[in-house]
Amino acid sequence: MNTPKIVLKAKKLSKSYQNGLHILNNLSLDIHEGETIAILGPSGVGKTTLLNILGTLEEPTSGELEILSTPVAKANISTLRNKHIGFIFQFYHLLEEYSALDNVLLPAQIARESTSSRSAAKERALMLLDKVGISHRAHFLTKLLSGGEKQRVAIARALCNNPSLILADEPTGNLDEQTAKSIYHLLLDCAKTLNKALVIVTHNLDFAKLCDQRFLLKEGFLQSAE
Amino acid sequence: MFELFIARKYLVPRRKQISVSLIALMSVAVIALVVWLVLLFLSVTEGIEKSWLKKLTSLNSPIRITPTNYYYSSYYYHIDTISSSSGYTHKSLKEKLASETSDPYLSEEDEEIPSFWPKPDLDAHGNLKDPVKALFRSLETMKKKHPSLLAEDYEVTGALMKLRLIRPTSTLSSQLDQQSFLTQMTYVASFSEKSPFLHSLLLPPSTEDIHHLIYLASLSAEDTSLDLPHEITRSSYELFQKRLQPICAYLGTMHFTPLRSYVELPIDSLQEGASLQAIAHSAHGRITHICLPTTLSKKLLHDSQKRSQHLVYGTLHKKEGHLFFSTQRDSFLVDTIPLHSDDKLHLVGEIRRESLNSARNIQELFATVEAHLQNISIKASLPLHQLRITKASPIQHFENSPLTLPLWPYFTKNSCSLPVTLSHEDHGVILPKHFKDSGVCIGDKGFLSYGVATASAMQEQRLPIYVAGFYDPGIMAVGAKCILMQGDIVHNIAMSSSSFTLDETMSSGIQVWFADLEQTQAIAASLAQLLKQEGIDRYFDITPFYEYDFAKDLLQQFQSDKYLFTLVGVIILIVACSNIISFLVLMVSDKKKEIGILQAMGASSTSIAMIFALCGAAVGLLGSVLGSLAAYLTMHNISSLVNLLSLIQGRSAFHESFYGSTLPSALSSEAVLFILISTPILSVLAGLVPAIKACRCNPARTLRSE
Repeated sequence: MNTPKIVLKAKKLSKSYQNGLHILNNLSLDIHEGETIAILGPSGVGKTTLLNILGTLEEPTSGELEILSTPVAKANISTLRNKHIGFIFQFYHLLEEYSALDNVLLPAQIARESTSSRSAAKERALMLLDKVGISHRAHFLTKLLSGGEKQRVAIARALCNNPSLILADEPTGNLDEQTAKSIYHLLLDCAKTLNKALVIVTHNLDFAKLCDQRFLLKEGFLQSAE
Repeated sequence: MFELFIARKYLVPRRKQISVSLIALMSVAVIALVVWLVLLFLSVTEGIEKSWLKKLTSLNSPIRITPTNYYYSSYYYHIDTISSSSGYTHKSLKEKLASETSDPYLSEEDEEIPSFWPKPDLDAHGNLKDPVKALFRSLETMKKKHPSLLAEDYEVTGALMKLRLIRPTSTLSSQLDQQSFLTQMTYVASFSEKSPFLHSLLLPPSTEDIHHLIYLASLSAEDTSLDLPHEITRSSYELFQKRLQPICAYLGTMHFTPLRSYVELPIDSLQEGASLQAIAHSAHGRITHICLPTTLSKKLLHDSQKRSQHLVYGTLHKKEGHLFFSTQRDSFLVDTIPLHSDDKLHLVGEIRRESLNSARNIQELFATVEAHLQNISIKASLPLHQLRITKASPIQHFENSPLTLPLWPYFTKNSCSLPVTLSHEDHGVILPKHFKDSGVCIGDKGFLSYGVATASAMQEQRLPIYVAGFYDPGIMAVGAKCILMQGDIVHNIAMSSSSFTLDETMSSGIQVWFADLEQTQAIAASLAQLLKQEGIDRYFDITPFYEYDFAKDLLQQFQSDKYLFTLVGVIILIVACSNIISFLVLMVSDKKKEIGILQAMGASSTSIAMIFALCGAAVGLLGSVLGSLAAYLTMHNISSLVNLLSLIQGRSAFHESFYGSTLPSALSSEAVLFILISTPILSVLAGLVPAIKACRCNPARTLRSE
């Protein structure tokens, strides 16, 4: 059996702020294709910071980060982010004045798809909306959608450019239990069926148990939470 | 292009973003206002400059070729003064061109050439070079490349002009005449018949001129060289006829109104069966005259129910050749009672041919006219002295040269001509139009005075002249003092006058016209090259209009003003566009979360910056298009704007002598191009500051704070 490809490789990542606060301390992590990882930890411990660093939204104080064997320090970060990373946020972060379809298409538009691939992107966006069960709301402005629907649109958007890595920051934190459960299952299902690496930051241990690996972020280190 | 997709969403006004939308609208409005103002200002300035340039180059030609000091000190120029075949006088350029030989000197007949004279300038064959003929050959060569090119010689001299102004105390009919004199030292320049543009400067004869010409025809020919008031007598029948014919032959259809408060209408002016409202005026119980109002009046109908002491309202009708005046009670036969129109009667017609041939004086001249009286058409033959000419279009354009010359300048296919003389006594002159404003009319006579040196003394020579027309000299200082005459006469004055000396290099030359002023520099350079090839470049100076001594300062000032106005325009555009900065800074703050989202989705800093730069450019472009549209509409209705300004000020808002009779109404294409390029560029530049601010947003911080 072949070893799955390493999607993300973090080596000795540290993050500290000018006020002396140390968030990450020589943290190392490998994430493989199709692997799902849950990061647990109390509030304020630095889970979101870790996720932002893994998603290139923030720079580590020290350490190295490679995405698909490309060192982030040498790569065009915005292209890397656009092509290989999909973000899902707790507060959805959709463009409220745009339709669900426009939001899903946004990463493809940013990638400056050619005219022929633009229609393919639209087809894919509609397929993704269908997959997340919200194709009937494709042309609704996202501000008119419910929280669960918004998060489904956000999942579809994260998958639009067929990235290798999906980073979800408490994706169910703003939803009721029933909706949260369905979103969680959807997310895991998508990651498994599409063979994506998924990193989820969550407080919910039950959900975390559904992931391949679980880590607890404590004092800047990742500890296995098995 | 996703940047455009996002920018478009940002610019569409939304209720939730009222403050951003309002500031965006204000930015567009401010830019549009500034663009409108700048375009209007630059277009009017450029239009005025073009009109001044057109006047300058129509009168003085775009290029002048003037003989240099080398020419005036050459053997070629001086040899005529000792040559019997040249009459021992200097020849003008025209005469040099027409002369058969380049060297008129005959050693057997003429006196010996002084030893100190310059040596003859010989060509390769040993013949005397003829620079004037060579110059015209070069001009002919140029004509092949520029078919619109025309060249004509000119001369300028000076003389004292004295005009005797004879005026009736009231128009046409008075027997009493007033006399006054107008004296002015003037430049006298050749009237350029070939100039294709001079006609645009010549003013057509006005109705005052026509009145005055007819009035002058009734006065006897007197010695115009007298400069003291003297008795004025009436013309004889023959003289009156002789003077009247060239005036009336080309008057065509004219418009008239009654000279006094009414005009007397003959009975036969009314058609059979005509019925009109009328007011009978009575005195001592008898009707003195019947007044026919021009328009139907409801008030008059109402008043017809009443009777006043002296006025009787009623109806006048014509039946079986007789006129009847009817009131509600009575009807009178009024065939012998005079019929008067009111002063609003508008008549159209021409001078009656039969009366023209038989009239001995103005009182016997009649006009055949038509008018509408209470919507009824009337035709009548009315005495001309009872009418005031309100509109006339004297004929000035002819297919071929007319047999009877009009008394004003006229145009045939290829040239513009001055009538040679009035009654073969005087020479026609064209005066700058400010003389017209001073009360001078076409037909006024006078003389030009200049000193001629004789062996014993200086004698005053008087050349009788008459005013044949007026021209618009533009705003050149010298223009107000320059009168135009036949070139031959100007040459005669220049040759004999000793009282007025002008620098030789300024007194004569060749004027060169062509259609496109933009070509001036190229044509001047080509001409200079040709003269060099002919070996005569030392004899002539080629001066384009922008280097004319009398215009250079003014044109340079125009140029400086233009640069200054453009600079002011740019500065106020910058101020207007900087409004975009505040609009975009507000927008960036408003859209911070969206910027973060776009960055997380992989939008580059350049893309983020471009979204806001596009917003700035769109606001600038929209403002400049709206402003240009407003400027276009304003320019097309500029006369209404000028009228409004004049009404507010209580006087003419723009002085005619400076701005022309009407303000330019065409939008300057250069100004539009300048605005449409500079405004979006300035807007993008203004958008850069907030755009840089936008692309420096930290997505992690922005999204976390949400």
